[in-house]
Amino acid sequence: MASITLRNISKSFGTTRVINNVNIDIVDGEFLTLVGPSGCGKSTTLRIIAGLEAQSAGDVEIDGKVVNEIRPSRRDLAMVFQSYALYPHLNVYQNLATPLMLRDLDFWERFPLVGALLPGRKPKVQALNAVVREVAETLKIEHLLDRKPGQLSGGQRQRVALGRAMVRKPAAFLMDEPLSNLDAGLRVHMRAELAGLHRSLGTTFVYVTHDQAEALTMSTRMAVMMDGDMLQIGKPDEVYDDPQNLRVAEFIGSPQINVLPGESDAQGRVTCAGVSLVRNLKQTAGQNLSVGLRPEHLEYREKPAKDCFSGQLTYKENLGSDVYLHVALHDGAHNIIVRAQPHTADDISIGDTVSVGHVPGKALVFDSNGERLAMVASGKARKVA
Amino acid sequence: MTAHTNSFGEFLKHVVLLFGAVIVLLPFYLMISYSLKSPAEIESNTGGLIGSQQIMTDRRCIKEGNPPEQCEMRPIVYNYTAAFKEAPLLRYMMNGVLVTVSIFLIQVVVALPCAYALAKLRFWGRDVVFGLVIFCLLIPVHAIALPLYIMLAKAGLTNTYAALVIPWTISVFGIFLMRQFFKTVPDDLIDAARMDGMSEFSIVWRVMLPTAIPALLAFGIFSIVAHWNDYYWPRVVITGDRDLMTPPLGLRMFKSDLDGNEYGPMMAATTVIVTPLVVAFLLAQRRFIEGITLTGMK
Ligand SMILES: Nc1ncnc2c1ncn2[C@@H]1O[C@H](COP(=O)(O)OP(=O)(O)OP(=O)(O)O)[C@@H](O)[C@H]1O
Ligand SMILES: [Mg+2]
Repeated sequence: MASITLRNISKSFGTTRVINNVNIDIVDGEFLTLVGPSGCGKSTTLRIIAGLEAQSAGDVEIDGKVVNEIRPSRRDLAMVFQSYALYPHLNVYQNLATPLMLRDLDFWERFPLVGALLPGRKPKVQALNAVVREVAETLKIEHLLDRKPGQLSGGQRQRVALGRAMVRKPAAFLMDEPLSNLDAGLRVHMRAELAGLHRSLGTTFVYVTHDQAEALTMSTRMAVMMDGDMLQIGKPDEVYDDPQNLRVAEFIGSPQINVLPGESDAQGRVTCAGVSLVRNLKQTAGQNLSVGLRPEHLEYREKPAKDCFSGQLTYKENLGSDVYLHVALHDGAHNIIVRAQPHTADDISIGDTVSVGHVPGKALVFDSNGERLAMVASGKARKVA
Repeated sequence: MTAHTNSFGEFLKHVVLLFGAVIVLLPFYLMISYSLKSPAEIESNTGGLIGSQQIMTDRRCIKEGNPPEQCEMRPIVYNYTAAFKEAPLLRYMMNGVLVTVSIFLIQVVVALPCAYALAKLRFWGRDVVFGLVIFCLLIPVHAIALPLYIMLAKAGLTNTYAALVIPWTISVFGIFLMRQFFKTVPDDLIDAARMDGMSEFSIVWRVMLPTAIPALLAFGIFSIVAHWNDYYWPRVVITGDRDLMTPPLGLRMFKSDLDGNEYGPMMAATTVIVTPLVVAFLLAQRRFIEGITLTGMK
């Protein structure tokens, strides 16, 4: 078990900078997810932690010790790769045993033929065998031990890759999109299984994904990265409910948050698309604001009202439990997505003019740079709500 | 309609291929046929592929004063026994095996780490080094033969096995071929091995080598065929010692030993020398083609 700290980590490949001054404190035993769009530098960050890539600046600390100069294998971390990276010429048993052999046997004991004659080898191999069997049992892959990776399904390979990381009982697991090669059903199943594994092992997990749903469902904390910047670190619901940046708000949540242009007056009162919000800005921020409204914070209203957006229904996205209404606002420039109950949605059809109200106090307001602006309840607004 | 043109195209393709095959196979046909026939049949160009196999008399045997009945035998027996009797054919073949196998093993020991470094490690000047490798591919052996010979002579190594082996131990072709193959091995696999605690050297021998077997086999065939059949270099460095001769060189000596038109035994010797290669190729054929196509991938 270990805590991992990144201090002012930067990385450039040639002249392109891919990580800018990233700081994270990964607490012992937590499941930290690095999430962000493709190409934002997640894998690079993970590889820097692993020691497979050298940072251009900054320090990596494991349990308070700077490990910049320490080789990957000496950092006591295990990594699961997206492509699984199993040794294709070795069978599952050998794949699982290799990390242990490399750690526990010395050079001559690993040497073909000569090694078998050395007296110290046998007990070590027996111990190693026991560990491999135990891990195989945990992951339910005992029946596959004789097979080569080429003869396994994607899900089975994934388990073997996980097993290869587990045998060494490392201080922390690093995983780079381990589920992205699986089909949708298995991916959801494996999410639960990985979360369970994390609970039972109690080891630190650092998990990289571009899938915000994985980040939300599995992690203790998630770190949102974009273009090499660490934008926000926090518990999944914190990041979802309280994004500090417009890009974070847009990235986390599916369907995406609705973003409408807004403006504020001298009192800090925010209006967007003709609708005033119930809370005021703490400080006035002028024009060019962005107002974010999540689909579940909007609701279909039968009658138009002053605090309602109005528009035309263009599409009904039926997910069974919920229906998402796609509405083209009457200003002609913006579309919003509204969550509705199936029975409500039944009454409206495409082309209808609809009114959309919003749940008061849920709107997120961002300034022209995308930074979140704090809001306070105004006395007047409270009466309206 | 398309089926028709297709089958015509196929037909044309096969005619061309067949024609090519005939041109390639004809010398072999002649070689095998001559190795089976009696001198008279060879001279008069009769007897088809295997000749009539009529009992013939060995003129040389009679010349040596043996009773005629001991000198009577079938042409096939005569040709092949003569081949082994007239020259130390087995010795030549042993030399050939020793030299080609040593060359190949050392080439692998050198080429694999080089190829790995060129394909997978990032270091300053890598592209220049790889450029040099490509450049070396363009240098014909004959161009550097003389300086090589002089160096070996100065080191007192002519007429040794070392002279036959040392100049070929660094194969730029091998480095190039293996580097191209290693490029297709996913980086993750190497990173996984590093995480598992393998040193770079272990990665070469325990991860890269096993995954590169098809490519290695292809290279092995190129290397072994080239050096088994090489006449030029052994001719340069083996000047006196017949015990060190490789098969092609031995064949030449053999030819000069025999009088004039003793084609039968000579062709028998040639057949014996070529056979191991043909057999090896047939055995490795599938892997060989796999290797070639694999290296062309990506
Ligand atoms: N070896 C390299 N040389 C040059 N640029 C690189 C190298 N490795 C990564 N990059 C660049 O660094 C950036 C970040 O790459 P990284 O692999 O960390 O992205 P990622 O967040 O993992 O994306 P994905 O979700 O697609 O895996 C990308 O723009 C990529 O092109
Ligand atoms: Mg990645």
